[in-house]
Amino acid sequence: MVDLDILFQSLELILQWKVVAACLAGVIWGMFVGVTPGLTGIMAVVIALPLTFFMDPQSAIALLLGIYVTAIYGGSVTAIMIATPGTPNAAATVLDGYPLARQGKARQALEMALYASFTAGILSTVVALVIFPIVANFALEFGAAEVFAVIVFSITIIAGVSGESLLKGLIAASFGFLIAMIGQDPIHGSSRFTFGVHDFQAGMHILTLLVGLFTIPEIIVRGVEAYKSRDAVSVGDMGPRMTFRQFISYWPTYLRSSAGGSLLGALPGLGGSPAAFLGYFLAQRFSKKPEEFGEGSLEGVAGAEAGNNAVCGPALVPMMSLGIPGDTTTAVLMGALVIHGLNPGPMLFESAPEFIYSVFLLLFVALIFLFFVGTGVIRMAKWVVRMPTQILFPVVLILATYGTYAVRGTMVDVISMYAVGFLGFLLRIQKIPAAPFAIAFILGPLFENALRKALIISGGSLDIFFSSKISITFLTLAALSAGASAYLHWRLKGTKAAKIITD
Amino acid sequence: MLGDDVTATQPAPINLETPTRRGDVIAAVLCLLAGLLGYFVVVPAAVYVPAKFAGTANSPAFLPNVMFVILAVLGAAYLVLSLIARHRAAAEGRVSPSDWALAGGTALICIGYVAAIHAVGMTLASALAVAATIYYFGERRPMVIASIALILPMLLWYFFVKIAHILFPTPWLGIIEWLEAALEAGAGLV
Amino acid sequence: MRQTVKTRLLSTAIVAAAAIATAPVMAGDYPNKPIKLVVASGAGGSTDTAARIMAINIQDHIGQPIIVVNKKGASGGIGINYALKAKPDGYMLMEGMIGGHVLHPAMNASSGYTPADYAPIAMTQMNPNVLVVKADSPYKTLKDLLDAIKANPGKLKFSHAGAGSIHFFGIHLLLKKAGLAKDAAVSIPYKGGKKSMAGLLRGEAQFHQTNLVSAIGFMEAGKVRALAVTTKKRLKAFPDVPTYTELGYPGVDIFGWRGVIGPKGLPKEIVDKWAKAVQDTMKRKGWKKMVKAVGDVPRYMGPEEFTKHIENDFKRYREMAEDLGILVK
Repeated sequence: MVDLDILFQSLELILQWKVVAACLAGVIWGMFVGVTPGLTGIMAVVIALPLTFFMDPQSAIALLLGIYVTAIYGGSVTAIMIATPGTPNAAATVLDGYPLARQGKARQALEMALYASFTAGILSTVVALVIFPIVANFALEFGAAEVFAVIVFSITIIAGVSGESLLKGLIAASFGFLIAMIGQDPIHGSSRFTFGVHDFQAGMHILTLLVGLFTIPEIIVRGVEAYKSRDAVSVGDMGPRMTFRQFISYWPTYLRSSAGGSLLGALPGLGGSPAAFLGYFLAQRFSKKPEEFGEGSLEGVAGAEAGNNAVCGPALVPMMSLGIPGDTTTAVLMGALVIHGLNPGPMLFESAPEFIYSVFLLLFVALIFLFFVGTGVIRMAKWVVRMPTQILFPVVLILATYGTYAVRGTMVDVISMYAVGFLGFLLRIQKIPAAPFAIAFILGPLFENALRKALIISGGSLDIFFSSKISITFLTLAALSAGASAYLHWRLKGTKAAKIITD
Repeated sequence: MLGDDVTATQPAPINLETPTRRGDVIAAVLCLLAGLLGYFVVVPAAVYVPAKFAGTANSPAFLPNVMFVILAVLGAAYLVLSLIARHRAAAEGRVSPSDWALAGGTALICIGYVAAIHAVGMTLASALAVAATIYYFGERRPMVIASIALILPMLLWYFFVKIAHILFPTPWLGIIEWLEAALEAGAGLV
Repeated sequence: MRQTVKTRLLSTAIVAAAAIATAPVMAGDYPNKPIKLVVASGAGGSTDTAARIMAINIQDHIGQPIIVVNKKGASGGIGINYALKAKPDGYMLMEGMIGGHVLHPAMNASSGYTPADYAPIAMTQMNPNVLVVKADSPYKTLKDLLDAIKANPGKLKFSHAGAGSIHFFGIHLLLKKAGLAKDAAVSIPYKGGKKSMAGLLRGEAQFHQTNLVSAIGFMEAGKVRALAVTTKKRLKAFPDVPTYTELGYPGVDIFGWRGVIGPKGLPKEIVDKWAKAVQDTMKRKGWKKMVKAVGDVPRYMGPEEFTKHIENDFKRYREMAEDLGILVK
């Protein structure tokens, strides 16, 4: 399994003050960017990238890993405080984190997010480190058919987050799927629904959609409220701390959601946001109080954050072992390795095993820094809850606009964001839920890509989906999960949760 | 009995965020229409299908068509359910028109903001928009409004333009950007 | 209060007007402010890395900071359209890339630009391609592979980085030169070169053409076998791998490239200044080392040669897109 000699060699590589300092700098910078809406992790990496050209490889990677780890977590702070996912990964955190903050439990929500992120990060990195030599080729087992089966399984999440009515959830999901089709078709590259607007060719960016869907309706609703009640303070209170007992009581959630997130993380191309939703879904499915989800459940925050942070360790496995980066951030990390003459791929493990271990060890270092820096950020969050509604939400409006623009630098995104926002407001009034909308938007293109690619490979035959154990397993899981969701809906009918909605 | 009926004809206005039956019916009809319109008009007009893939499951138009049909079917089901099911969540009655008007006001500010970005550039438009929204949401202290409208766009400008190197849209009347260009040119002189 | 604000506004306006009025006079001492280099692909990608390596090295020769700006989307179309709208004053240029500058407009009649709309300044590096099969594949030579395709038309599959990528065109060009039908092999698109290599390793496709840098690790590890490269001479590291030219397919020796491109109407002095600066930069050891590390081969072409090269590329790929019936109107 883990070669201890090499492990000690790699410890020597990273236990230098400049490496550790670079890592801390990365964490602080990543946190700053992560908590600023609209500044994505990738932007943090890009601004820091030219610096790394002149560093030694260890320090460069330490800096980038610090940013990488923190940016995944950082998005959750704004998701909880102002319903604006700072990064796409935090979309699932909004669902329960923001209601908790509105109920005056912001502190618990933020702490839950931080501790769950930290726990899942450590767990998944341990898993990645231990199994790295064994599963180096794991990603190769997942062809188009297998990825398709995993996505079909993930799509059953929609039922779980549909709230009051499965029908409304499915309607929201169809909208999400359709909007995701704007732009170039994933297989042939021909344009769809672009209506001659050139910027539509690139499709709608996920942050454009998330900010429109979650933030704008919230601003409009709070605006009406603020106008009526004039001098209301937004929330006013951070609420109590989370106790250690509370934290420990959710341990099955951390394990389950980390496992789900790790699986998706190890498959290139799926990325953090599906993992967050999968983590959320696993938390809900096995929860004793599934009816609290969406209304402010700490378990929901734990599931979402454990899910997306469990990606960070395993996502490095296909990148380093096969040279196939899972998402944009890992692609940048890979670029940095390449610049320093370390070519990720099948040879790296043979030529520089101590380097591979040092990357995982640096992840631990980064996670520990994240823990302390994150605790500091939670203290500062009180400024947000003390801000009066009539000032906080106008400021959020401006930040949302800058953020949407900054992602790709086009006004078409800003206009689309407001269009989605107005649509989202109308949907919200009719209680057509936003979460299935977002999930379908994220999974839709992956679904289409995998389906059509598998059909090309099989020459149009559907047998390909039943030709491997992996895909049969996941398709069976999907069927079971869909059945269980229908049961959950039936069970929740007439309960407290349903009543809260009808009142 | 008669008296009850009289009061029932004038229900109290309900909260903006409570789904009404009327709203359900409108939303259902819109979904149904969107599905049909998408299938019959939008996909043929706005999805380019290379000749070699026409009519196959691998056509770029295949899944859009499927999704529009699903949307239409779901919309029809939604319509039927909201018309027949009394026990459903939907409340009878209407949202107070003033609530709608207030929400519409915020939407108008947003639209104005986007237009202003085109006209006077990101920084100035944001200063105006944040001031307008704060005022609209009920804050009346001029110093508070002015200081936020001044400081926030400046900070954002510094971060996005100077650190993150984001290019803001070129406005028709970009006073700040014009000034900036002038200062840069001035700095070049020195 | 009102009076002071008014006066202040007025005075700033005057300062600004004065500064702008003097601006044209200074056109001779270009550049006098930082220059933006638009990268029409994602931050951290290979084009972006190449641009950043260029930017940090060339600023000593240009005399002003070079700011790299990413605008990605639509295979590069978004960023290029954006940069082409800029004033041709030399303060906004682009990192040229074959994908966005040639392949995207060649595939899309509605992309909004063709090579006639921009001014190539200099090529800086190129990117040879290599044709590979899995190590346990029965095809030992290019001839084996082509014979197998001929014997089983429509059966063999190749993976590539998406319709319209150079690897996609590369295989189609090979089929055409070998006298095979355009659907003799099935094309399977992936998102990017790395994932299409995984498709080959997984057995979803039987052959694959990709950038040398993406394949080199797998070639060294013995996971794939290279059948041909698009370079003029054999590679030093792999002397056993023949070139397309020696195998009798000289027209298939296509390669990816990067360089510096400006908007149309760029003054000749600015083009020349940049071409000279690029030449000087390319002599720097640091630049060479970094470019080789990212897997590119330094290759200089001046403005005229580069323009011609781009025109030829565009013509060739546009014809192929029409041939294959994938030209988007």
